Amino acid sequence: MASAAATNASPLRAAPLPLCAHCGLPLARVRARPGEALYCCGGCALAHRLTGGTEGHGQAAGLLMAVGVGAFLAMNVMMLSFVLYSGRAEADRASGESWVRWALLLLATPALVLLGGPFLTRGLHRLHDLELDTDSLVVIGVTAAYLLSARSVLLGAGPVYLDTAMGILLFVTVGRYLEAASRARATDALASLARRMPADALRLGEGGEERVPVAALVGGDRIRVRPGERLPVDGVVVEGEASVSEAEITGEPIPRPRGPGEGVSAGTLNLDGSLVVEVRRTGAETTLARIVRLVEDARAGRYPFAPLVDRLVRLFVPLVLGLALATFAYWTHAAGTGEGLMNALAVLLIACPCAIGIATPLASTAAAGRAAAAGVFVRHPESFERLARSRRVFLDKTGTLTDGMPALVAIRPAPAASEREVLALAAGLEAHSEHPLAASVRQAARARGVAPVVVTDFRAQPARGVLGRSEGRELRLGRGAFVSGAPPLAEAGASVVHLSRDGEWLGALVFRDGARPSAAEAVAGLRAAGLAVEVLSGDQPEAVAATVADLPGVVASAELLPEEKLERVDEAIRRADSPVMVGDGINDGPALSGAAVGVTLESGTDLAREVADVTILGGDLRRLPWLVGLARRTLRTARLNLFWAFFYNAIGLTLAVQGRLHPLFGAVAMVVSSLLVVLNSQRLTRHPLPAGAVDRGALPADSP
Amino acid sequence: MCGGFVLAVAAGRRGGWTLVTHQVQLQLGKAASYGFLGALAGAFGSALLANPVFAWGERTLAVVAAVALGAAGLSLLGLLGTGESRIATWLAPLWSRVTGPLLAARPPGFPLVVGVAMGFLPCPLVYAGLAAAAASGSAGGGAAILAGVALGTVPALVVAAASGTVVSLGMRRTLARLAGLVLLAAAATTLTRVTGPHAGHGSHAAPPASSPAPGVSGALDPEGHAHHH
Repeated sequence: MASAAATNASPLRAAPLPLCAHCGLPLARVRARPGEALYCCGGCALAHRLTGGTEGHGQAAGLLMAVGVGAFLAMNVMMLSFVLYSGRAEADRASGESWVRWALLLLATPALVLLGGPFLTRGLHRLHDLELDTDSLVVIGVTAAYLLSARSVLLGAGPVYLDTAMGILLFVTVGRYLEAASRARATDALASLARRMPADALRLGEGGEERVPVAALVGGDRIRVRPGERLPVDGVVVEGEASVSEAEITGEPIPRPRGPGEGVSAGTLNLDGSLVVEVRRTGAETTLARIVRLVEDARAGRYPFAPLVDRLVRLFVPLVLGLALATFAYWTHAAGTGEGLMNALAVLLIACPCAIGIATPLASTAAAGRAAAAGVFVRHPESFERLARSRRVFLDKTGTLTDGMPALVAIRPAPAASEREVLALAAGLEAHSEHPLAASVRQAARARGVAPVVVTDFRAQPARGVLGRSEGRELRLGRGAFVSGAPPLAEAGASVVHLSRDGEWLGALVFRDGARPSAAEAVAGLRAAGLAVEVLSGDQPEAVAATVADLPGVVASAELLPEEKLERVDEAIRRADSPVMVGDGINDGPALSGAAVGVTLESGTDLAREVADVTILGGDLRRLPWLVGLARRTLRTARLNLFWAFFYNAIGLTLAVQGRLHPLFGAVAMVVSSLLVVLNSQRLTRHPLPAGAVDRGALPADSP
Repeated sequence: MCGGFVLAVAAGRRGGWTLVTHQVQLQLGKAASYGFLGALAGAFGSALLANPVFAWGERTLAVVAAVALGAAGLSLLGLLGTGESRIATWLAPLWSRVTGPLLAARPPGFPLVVGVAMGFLPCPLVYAGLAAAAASGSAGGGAAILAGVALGTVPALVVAAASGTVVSLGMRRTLARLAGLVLLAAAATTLTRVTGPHAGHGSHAAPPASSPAPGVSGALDPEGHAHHH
């Protein structure tokens, strides 16, 4: 079996990037300082300190006072300037009483410190790291306008542009904050649920019940979960029965009954019964924590053309600076310093490299968040593009198309053996196996009171069978070719495995596995979306044919080995079908890893979940065509964002260089441009959920 | 909508002098926001009306102002829908984030910043004022109009702050209805001036910044004929 890590390796799946502490988008070129939170822009820094700080209202109030007083002063400077200079030519800005100009300067100076301080601090840090971004352009532009104006006031002659400087600061501060707030909303996936997790639990011990921190629980502890409480850990019910709501994890609206022996997950809600749960996984090992990591991995993942975008943005700001200098030189020569400064300012402010940088990541992250709301977790952001381009879906049968819980319906012993003997030997072998058939055999043995034999030297050969030794004799359980001497047995629509001991056929076990209720609708949805659907199964032809009988238009292949499944996937890749592989077992690992997009279900094996790009919780296959629709819409959104970002910058810079753009309009347009990209991407967070899914965002806190 | 903020600022006050200083800061902040918006609207109107293509702009803006006043009046009388409530609901989280920490921590000067935020609350009176400011065709005129609107609301808000719990619910409803009637009257007056017999006196674009600003009381004269008052 190929190594999952090796086959899943890709130069595009390098180490994850650090994330902005506020909006969660990846940071490609930010150097971390000890103890300092990382932000992608000044807006996120402002928004996070206002809303995300842990020091209560004091810190936020102090920041709000600084911004509020700065805004008050800036608005007064702008108002007075408009009243005095509105409608006049730029040259007339030198006129006016000296005391008025001094008043403007006295109002503008503290406003510059209060509003411009955060940008200036961040800009200097970035400059120290030899990295420039949009905030750097704002700082350079505002500082230039202020210094020139201050010089004019001090010398008593020359134009004053304080209203422009203040207006830029005001619009950029407010605009960046609104943009950061919108971006954070677009990228928030499971943060609200993670925040509502209980901090403590009622542990049962010899001395009775005691309330302990959840972090103190270990595997094997028993806790009591009362009605209305949220499960703090993954575990197994040992006592009691209750309805458990998994809506916030899987999106499934119908609560599921849970009783002794059944698993429960952290984050789900106990609705109506008292449960005693044995702890299996805590903290970072729970399903919920794993899902949160998946979503964060998706945010931090690199995109196919991320290196190109990074290079572009890295070059863009110095280019804009150069263009601004050239514009200043030209217009100063042609029409004077005032005109040169205003046009250069316009060039600095209209440029928006941030829109280019966030165009694709924001769309993918917003889509990943919406998918998470439907219980679909996308690990790699580039999966959306590959899903959108896909033309073929391969489905595994057992555990994917079917619910993977085939029932043992008959035992056909050889004349020299009995049903109980065959079952005891088979159960002994299957005690070591994760295969869905193994669980069915063990359950049948328990139900009939048959004790499994002790088996040593257990080995599994995927899609072929299992073997081991009992009392020194070799046992084999598997498909016909794996077990010598197995007679041909025709069981329509059933799976048959044979048992042998030391090469002597002992009997056959017959299983039947029904298709999932959602399978037909899912396949119809995929075909309606223009995808070809093909079933790849290691099972026998009769069983495969019986499963796909009610799935029109589906091509099915049976008795495939894992490497043969991979061959089919590789053929589809060579045809540029961008194939999707949906599977859940160990024998699907190579195909899952080799496909353009690997999809597994929550019930899948650890290997499948590790190599797959997408995990679907709850087992509803209708999520798959829905995900394809979401992926196509995400691709369209990302393309529109990029087109807008390039188009806007091209047009805006052209107008600014030609002297047709006022700097204030440039500042407003720059913020509006980023906001448009954010709002366009945010539409993905309102993409209709699949049928039957609950909108977790609409759920009130701690309600079913 | 301003009443809630005024009462929140006045809550827990330690004495009459504190009430006064807080209200002065609050109204100053609000007036700065209003004046700023008015200057912006006036500058926009000046640019718009200077272009002969938009010769119809003055009259249209005056009609918009009258409609906004009328809508505010009907809303106070309970005869109009909840459009403003929907906007307020949509903006509430943002306002809460801005003013919540200030009202909780109450640092020195916090009423000024709350007042600045209040100035951007959605309000039909402000919409009417903005339309009038744009119609004035000058930044100075626009700033003066909105400053006048701000000043006009001071008495009512100060009374609310000083006697927040004294005025009964029934009395408040009556006062709201009276205010609604006044606004309807102002709207009717404005509309009459725009469409009445004087409105036909040879339209000409509003002169640039030097023209006197129209009065704040709502009797708008889009033709700039100040001598008619």
